[in-house]
Amino acid sequence: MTLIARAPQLNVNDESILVVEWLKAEGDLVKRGEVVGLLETSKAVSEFEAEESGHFRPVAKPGDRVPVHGILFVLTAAPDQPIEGILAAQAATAAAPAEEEPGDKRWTKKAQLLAQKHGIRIEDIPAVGVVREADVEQFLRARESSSAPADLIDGVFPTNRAERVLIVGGGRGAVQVLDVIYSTPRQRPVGIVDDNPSAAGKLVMGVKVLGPASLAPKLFRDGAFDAAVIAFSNDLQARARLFLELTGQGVPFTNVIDPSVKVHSNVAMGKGNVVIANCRFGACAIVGDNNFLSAFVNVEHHNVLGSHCTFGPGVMTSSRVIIGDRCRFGTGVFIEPGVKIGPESIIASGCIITSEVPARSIVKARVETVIRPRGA
Amino acid sequence: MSGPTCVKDLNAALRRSMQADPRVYVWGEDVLDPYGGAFKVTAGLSREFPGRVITTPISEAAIVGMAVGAAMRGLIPVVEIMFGDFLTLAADQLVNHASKFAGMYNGAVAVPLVVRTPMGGGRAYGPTHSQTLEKHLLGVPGLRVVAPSHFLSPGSVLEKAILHDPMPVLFIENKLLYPLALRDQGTERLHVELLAEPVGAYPCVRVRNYRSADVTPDVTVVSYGGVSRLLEKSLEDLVDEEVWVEAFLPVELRAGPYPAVARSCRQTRRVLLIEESTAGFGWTAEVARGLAQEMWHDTTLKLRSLEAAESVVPSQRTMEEAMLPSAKRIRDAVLEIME
Repeated sequence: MTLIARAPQLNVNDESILVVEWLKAEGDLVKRGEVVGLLETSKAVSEFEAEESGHFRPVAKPGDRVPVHGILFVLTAAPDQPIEGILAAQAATAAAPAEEEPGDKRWTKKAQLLAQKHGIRIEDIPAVGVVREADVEQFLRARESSSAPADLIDGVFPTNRAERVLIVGGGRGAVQVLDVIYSTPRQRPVGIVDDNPSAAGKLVMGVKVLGPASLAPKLFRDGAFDAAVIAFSNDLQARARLFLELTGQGVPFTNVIDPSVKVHSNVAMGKGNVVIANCRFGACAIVGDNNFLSAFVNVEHHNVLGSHCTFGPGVMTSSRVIIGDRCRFGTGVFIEPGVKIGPESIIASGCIITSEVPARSIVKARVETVIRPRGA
Repeated sequence: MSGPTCVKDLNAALRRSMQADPRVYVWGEDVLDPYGGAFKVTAGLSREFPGRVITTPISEAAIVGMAVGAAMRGLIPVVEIMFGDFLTLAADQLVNHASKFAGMYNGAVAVPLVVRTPMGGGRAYGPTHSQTLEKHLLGVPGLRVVAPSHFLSPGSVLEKAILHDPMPVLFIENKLLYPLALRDQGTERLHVELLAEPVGAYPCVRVRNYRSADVTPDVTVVSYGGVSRLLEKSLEDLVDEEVWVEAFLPVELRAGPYPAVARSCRQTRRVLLIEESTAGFGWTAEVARGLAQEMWHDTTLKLRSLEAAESVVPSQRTMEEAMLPSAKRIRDAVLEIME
């Protein structure tokens, strides 16, 4: 039976301890609880007792500075038992690296997320060593090119051409959105969801209403569509709520933009925006998510547009205008340069905005439709 | 690649400052040689500068109060409070005196005082020697709070605070950073640089685990001080996950603005804020408020924060580890925010 005695943490601040002297000679029999030597911390000298009985075999010498938990001496059963083997075994254990991670890691987080996004089992992706993002990309490319000729959806559209769009809301907004989608080869509609139970089964411009909006996450998981867009613009709160709920459940959104829309340099646009014909985005404009822009809306250069806003036709902003979230604009609104419009404001048709609009304002143009009755 | 340790770097900065300006004095508990301070930051100074390193009785209010008076009368006192936990005893001098005089006397006096103190757990010192308390002294007009990490020489920050900052400065150190080598030149996997625009009057450090020419960042991280020790490991580990992190560590702890952070968030749309103090009413909350105001038009910013658990700091080592932020916890939080 051997015991390895280590330098104690006598004073919390010290990294090491000084051996002042040993009170025993090499090989002496030490009884349990007997004082073996004196150790000095930065604050005091302490006696050090043996935890077990055994023959004293010093490793540190008086005057040595031993790191806390470093070896002071060994107590052996026999006075001449060799201790080199014991010390070597200790050193080997201490040098072994702590195994923090299980060694069977087979893919990176990025690779896992990309595979998940495309509905592929990451286990199916061949790679040498750890599966990396590039391996998944290569797998996707290979799959696309090999399956392109035969992979037709509804027997008409090749999968790898058009983004498959799910439309949320089946009213007149859906007609506008479908009209835009049909004018571009890059997107195609695959279905409509609408919370109105009487709409189920109905066709809008040839696209079927599949059921309520709550179906969308499952439809996405089943691979039925690539991205969604919200088609209605009359209820702003419902627009924002649905967008946040569905994105929260992992449903991706896409922008539906008419080919006639002019987008200038360095425009940054979020997701889920609907942009009807003849709109324009000036250079460096920043656009949030889930906005609905009717025809002929001009978002001028260096504008910052929030999210969940709707615009009637012909809203014209000048440069550097900032528009908060959940704003609603009527038809034919003009906004002067640099004006800030706070979130959740309503700007009625025909307004000319020349100064800051605080959050949650309602702005109406004073136009008297009937001035006076004509004289008889 | 590895530089001097943080404690050596701080010690050298004190020495340089005392050489540069005879008005610089150091005082605190047990700061004299041969002990040289509880964490050895003042080691050797009392021998080199006789009479200018003063050991004091155990009364933090008196130590700091004396320094406030001396600073007003022309000295530059650098005070050591042995443990950050004891700052509460000096809080009155900092909050009601040091920070007030310049304004009360309409600029006729300055209080160029530096109060240095170590915060942080991880050494099993128990509830009253392990805390991260600086959050209680943030947002006091007239009091500057700085907390350098090991990604930027703490000594260079200390020297600026002593010689070039006319305000009273609370200088937060970290116990576990002391023995670590500086990483201001980065590592094989980490790229460290100073941003051109400071936060407040002190620099902001950016650490990235990728080369910007190769990839764009996935996650923005904002933190400060001793958390850098954990960031070094977690950011290096995240390279193996191909998750690219852009971390910002401002030296000065203030309400912002943080334009560089906001720019990064616009690109990543994911941000993790980290501090070692207990959760709630802290620096991370303040940074989150600033970001919310700066990014008011963006509803899709995914924001998470990581702090110590809401409890006393346990003395028992494994319980303490469970309570404090760790490299693994940071890594897991980054991976979670990627989902």
